Amino acid sequence: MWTLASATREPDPARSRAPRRGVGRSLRTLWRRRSAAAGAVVVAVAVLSALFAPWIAPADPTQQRLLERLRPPALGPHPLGTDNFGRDLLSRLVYGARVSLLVGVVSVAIAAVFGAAMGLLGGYYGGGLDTLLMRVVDVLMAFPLILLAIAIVAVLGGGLVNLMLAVGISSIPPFARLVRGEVLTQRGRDYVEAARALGAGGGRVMGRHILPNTLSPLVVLSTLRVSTVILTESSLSFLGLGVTPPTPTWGNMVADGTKFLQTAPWISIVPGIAIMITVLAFNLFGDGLRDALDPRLKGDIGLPAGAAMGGGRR
Amino acid sequence: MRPIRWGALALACVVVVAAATIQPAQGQGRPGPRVIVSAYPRDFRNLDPAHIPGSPDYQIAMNVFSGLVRYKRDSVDVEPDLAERWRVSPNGRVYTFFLRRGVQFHGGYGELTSQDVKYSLERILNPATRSRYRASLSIIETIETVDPYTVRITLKAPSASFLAGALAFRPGYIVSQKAVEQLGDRFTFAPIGSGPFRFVSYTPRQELVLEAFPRYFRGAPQVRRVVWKVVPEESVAGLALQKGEINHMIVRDPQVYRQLQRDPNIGMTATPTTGWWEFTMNTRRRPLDDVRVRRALAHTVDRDTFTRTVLEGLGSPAYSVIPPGMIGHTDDVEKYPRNVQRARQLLAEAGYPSGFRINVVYEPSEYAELIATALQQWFREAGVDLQLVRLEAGAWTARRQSGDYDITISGTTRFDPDQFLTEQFHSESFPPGGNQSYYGAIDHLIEAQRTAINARERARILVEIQKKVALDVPFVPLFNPVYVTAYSKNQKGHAANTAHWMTRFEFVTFE
Amino acid sequence: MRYLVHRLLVTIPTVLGVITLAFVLIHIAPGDPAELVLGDYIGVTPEVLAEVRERLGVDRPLGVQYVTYVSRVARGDLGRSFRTNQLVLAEIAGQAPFTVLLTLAGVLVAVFVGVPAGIVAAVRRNTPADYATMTVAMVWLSSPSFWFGILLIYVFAYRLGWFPVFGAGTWGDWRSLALHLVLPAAAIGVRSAALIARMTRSALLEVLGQDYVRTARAKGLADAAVLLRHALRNAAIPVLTIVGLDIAYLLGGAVVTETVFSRPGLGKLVVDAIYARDYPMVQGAIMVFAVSILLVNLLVDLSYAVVDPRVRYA
Repeated sequence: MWTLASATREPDPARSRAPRRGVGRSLRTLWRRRSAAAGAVVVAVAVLSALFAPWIAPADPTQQRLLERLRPPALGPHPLGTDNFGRDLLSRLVYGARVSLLVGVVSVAIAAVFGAAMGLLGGYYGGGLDTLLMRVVDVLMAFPLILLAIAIVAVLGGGLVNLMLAVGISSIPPFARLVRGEVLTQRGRDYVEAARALGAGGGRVMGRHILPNTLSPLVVLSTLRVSTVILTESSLSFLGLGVTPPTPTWGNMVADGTKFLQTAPWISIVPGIAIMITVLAFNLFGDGLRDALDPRLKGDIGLPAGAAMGGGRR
Repeated sequence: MRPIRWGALALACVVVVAAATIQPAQGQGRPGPRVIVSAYPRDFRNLDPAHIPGSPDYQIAMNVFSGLVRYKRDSVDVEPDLAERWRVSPNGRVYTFFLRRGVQFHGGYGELTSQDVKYSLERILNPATRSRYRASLSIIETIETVDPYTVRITLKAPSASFLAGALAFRPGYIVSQKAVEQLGDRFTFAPIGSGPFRFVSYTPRQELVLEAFPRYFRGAPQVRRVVWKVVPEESVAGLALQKGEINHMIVRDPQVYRQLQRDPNIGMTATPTTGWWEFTMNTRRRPLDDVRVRRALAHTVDRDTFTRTVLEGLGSPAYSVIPPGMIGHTDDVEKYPRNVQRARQLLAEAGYPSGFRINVVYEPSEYAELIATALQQWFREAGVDLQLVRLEAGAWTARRQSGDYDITISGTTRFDPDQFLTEQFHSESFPPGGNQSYYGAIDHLIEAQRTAINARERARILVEIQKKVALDVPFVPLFNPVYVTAYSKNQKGHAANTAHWMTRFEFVTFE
Repeated sequence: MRYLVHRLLVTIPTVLGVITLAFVLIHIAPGDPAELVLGDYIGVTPEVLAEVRERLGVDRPLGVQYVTYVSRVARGDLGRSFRTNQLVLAEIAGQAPFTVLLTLAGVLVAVFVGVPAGIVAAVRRNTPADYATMTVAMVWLSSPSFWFGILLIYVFAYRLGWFPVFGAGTWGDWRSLALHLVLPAAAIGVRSAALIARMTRSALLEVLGQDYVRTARAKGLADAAVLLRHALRNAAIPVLTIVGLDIAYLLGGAVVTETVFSRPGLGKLVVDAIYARDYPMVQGAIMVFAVSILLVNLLVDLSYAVVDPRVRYA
């Protein structure tokens, strides 16, 4: 049931009503499981190639061979072709997975940790602290993500770490809101009352009781946000604010390759497809996770289903 | 739904096939007859000759204004423009210019007289104007209007570059005194000159329009109207040119050049420029303070392959601080041909057998990033680890002016040695000035060439400068860029002028 | 009504927070605005720089600058651009219409492509039409928007020649404006369309399985009537939510889209201003962005009450 709760701050007690399961719904869940499995496999492939890049990649991704530049994909030493400086695209793709995934994972981790902290503290203690924290979240939400990232990069300088910080900070709001919503729901529950009656302090209650219950939606949201972050990194690379060369990321490979769309289209198409498939995989995997962890969550993870998935903030 | 679904699928297939095979549609949004529509990546900022910041504005100025003299159509030599002829006194300090009669300003601002000449030049010299070109005219001592058509300019000392470096260039454009006094600040985007085209309109961030001036003293140009559109991505401008939405552009991106080369409907004129791209080494930093190290790094550079491949031929290897086409240029300097072994040898001699790590700080404009990427590979072959530090405009300026870098990359275009020797190699220009290498060994030579009125003497001094700089190698010139003017085939008259790679539309005709 | 007032009051500290954040970020970013305004040439002496700094007002202590700026803003004075010396408000007013047009067009594309797609998928669930639509939606969601934009230009503007390659057209000429809007709106709206499609589908499926719908159908009401009256109403809220959340994304996406399609607009204006350290312009533009986002969110929240009478604001 779609309620106002999904969109704004307050939780909705009507959430307990479970959806019906008809034949059509079971079929859909099955398809979801298959596509989720496919998503999981692709994610695993991406992660593995990122981890084992030095062993998988046939060549040094930064080694230039100016006399072999702009070769199209062909059987031979450069199966995916070469770029403007004669660097092997397959190797750059494999190494690119490293940075793209690293940026994705770390940024989301930053956002999740800070966001969850803010949501927990605000939701649990309420009052002035809550108002303050939620104001901060509102301010972050009112700032278009790209602009915030550009401003942070202008202040801190370029480079991988600052990029992750910039993207991470801009991604805090959905996490903060999600956790806060969960906390508000849980706060009134019996077991929490019981724990407090027994004398458990705030930290303990938050840490041992509330937090574990928020983990499932948190995990789902994180998975879905990774896809958003990978796309954001590519936009920032396009604007010239991403990782400095010669480090390959899928994002800056696509950005550089747009100049060659007519003369050597494979340079941007190959990493573009890689981004698409990986983002798709994360989305499908996230969907599947959500179905698996709690079917009731569908639509109620503080943001409507699908909106959290790569949407909302870019 | 079945028929609809198949229909949708069929439609999708048709679109895909069409996209792959149909030639670009002609005719949509084409410029009118005798109209030029051009594209430029940056927006205009100031059209006032006293303040012109750079290329897009200079393009407009050279079509809207006239000076006492101007560059010939395809060389850096000067020819009469507003002045029919001139006389130079034997001591080289007094120039007397005899103006044409009946030259009209745009907008009904009357005839151009010696009073306007005096006003224009003095305006730039006036500190209150805060003109960035004040220094280039500072050699002037007095300006007299002998009569309405005669101007006498007395210099403080003889200057070899007065005509070509100052009067033919931006500060030499003559403006209407009446117009400036009337319009004040609005003159920035309402320039009144006496050139072949008059300014019509400017829509910020979008377009600027000029129209032919029928009362131009050389006769109305054939081109009726010129429109410049602001298009940040050069590859998009290239597509627009091929499609016919625009019919003129300057090409600097090697890939756009490559793509346009294949198009039989596009004509191109390549202009070698008197510009250069180089990397500069901070001689105050270790290990770059050792000339052997600098020579070693120079030996790693592979100009030929770079210009042939990455630049797609849009540049020729450069070895000397003064580019070809500029007075005094010589190729007879120490060249440091590519020799990685020699590089390693020199590094070992200097005490760095296993190399070292340095950084290169740059702003990613035009070729800077291509150069930085190539440098990293070349240096690596000699064992030097180059860290790339890419900064955007604000941060880059701050860093450059504080002297906090090992190497920087930049590109410049100038027309006379005086326009850059002091700024880039004199010890009075150490950062925050433009002397990024902290080089100070040719101060006396720079000052000498400034006053050498005899062209041969000046050339001799300039040769000496080039040889010395090549020996000390505080910076390594890489290539002289070639800019390409691309236009639709029905245009004629585009000349390759190294003085400026922009187009003066009075020479363009249609067939 | 009280809700409206309450929300508006809450907006003020948020806007103040945005202004403060923008102020802090742009002021601590390295780079001297005076130097950037003057450019680089002989004649820029320390005295000249000091004079310009004083004229711009950047030589005073940060705290003073901040208070001065905020009090001016409260009076409606956004200051003058360092670069052009024009009133910030005037420059923004000149560029804003293009961005507003683009964003509106993007929303239209999102809704008028997304909703029908979602309806088709829901009505024909578990058929190839359903899977195809949802897969295309996922693919759209997963591609970098600038890449998509460049592809659109190449295929539809260049190869097929249906649309102009760049620009925004002539203001006042509706046909020209519309032609120039199609491709950018598609590039920017397609992601939201995909989200909305998924959302509409889910929402419809939720409702279609409900008892009261079954009852209505059993009573013989035509399918279409059932759909329109009950199910779409249910989908309206999540669609509105996505529009609201996505406004921040769409406005940020304007930055990249305006560059790719060579359109004038606030996106490019603010990015150029950040690079030029044009403090008043940056602060003014970001404030305008933030206020727009907050206003749109408020409108979206208010529209819930219109769409779903069960929603009540205390």
